[in-house]
Amino acid sequence: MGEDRIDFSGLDPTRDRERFEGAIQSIMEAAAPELISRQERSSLLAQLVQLRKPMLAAATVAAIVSAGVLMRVRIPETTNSTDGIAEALGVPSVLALGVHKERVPTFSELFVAFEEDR
Amino acid sequence: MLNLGAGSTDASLVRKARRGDSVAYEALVRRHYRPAYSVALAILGNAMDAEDVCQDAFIRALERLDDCRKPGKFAAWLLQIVRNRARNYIDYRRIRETVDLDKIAAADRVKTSSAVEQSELRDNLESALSGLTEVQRQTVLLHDLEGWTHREIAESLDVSEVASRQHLLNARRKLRELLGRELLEEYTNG
Repeated sequence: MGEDRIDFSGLDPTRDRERFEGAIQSIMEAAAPELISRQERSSLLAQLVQLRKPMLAAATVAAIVSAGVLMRVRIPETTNSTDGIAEALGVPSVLALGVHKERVPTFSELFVAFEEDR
Repeated sequence: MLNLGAGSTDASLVRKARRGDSVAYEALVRRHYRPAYSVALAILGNAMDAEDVCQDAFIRALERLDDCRKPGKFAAWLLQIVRNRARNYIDYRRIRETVDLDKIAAADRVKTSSAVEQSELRDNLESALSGLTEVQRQTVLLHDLEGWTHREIAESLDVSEVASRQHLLNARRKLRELLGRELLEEYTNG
């Protein structure tokens, strides 16, 4: 098929060297703002990448220290959990104790509790 | 011709150009200018418009370089931009105001004899090419001017290799008719 090839060199845009170089220069001039913008974005990204390692190291240290502190701190146990329930529900503590221990308070306990509450 | 980035692949140049490397971008422009021009010429039919569209397409390609998902296939991606820009340009040309004939006449007066010969040669080829379909023009220019293989053309035009061969055969047959035997001999190798 090669022998049938048509010579299109008359249409070759690189044939006229001066014109071709002019076209390339024209493209490069028009592209300059976008290229500069990309360089700036790229350098900002590079700075962030450079900062990434020390920031990761600092975050790791902070995480270790925090974990150590949390392990040393003891959360005080509530002395009587029924007090909190009674306070939240607004009922005498004897009722809260009954709920907590799944036990029905006796009549006398109830009487005393309501008398005290009054 | 400057041979920037000669040893670099398209993928490598695209990655550098994404970071604003002007040398890499210029290498891509130089490497792909001819195929881009051929496609633009195939669609638009004249050299001046093809140059304008090429410039526009290369700038658009740079602006959208991050959208090029396969940097190794930069050529195919770029040529699609060229096609789109060229078709938009045809629409623009349709609504454009009347051509300034004085400017054309003035430009013709300053042409040297060599430039006139080149211009005539180009006009003959452009005129003959205008008798082909768009896909035939792209096929024959990419094959005979750029030296692309049918596989490359098929991939770029999204047709089969068989179709690419058929388009080339038909294009050459039509060009022979349009240019005439005598004129064609000047353009035909061996």
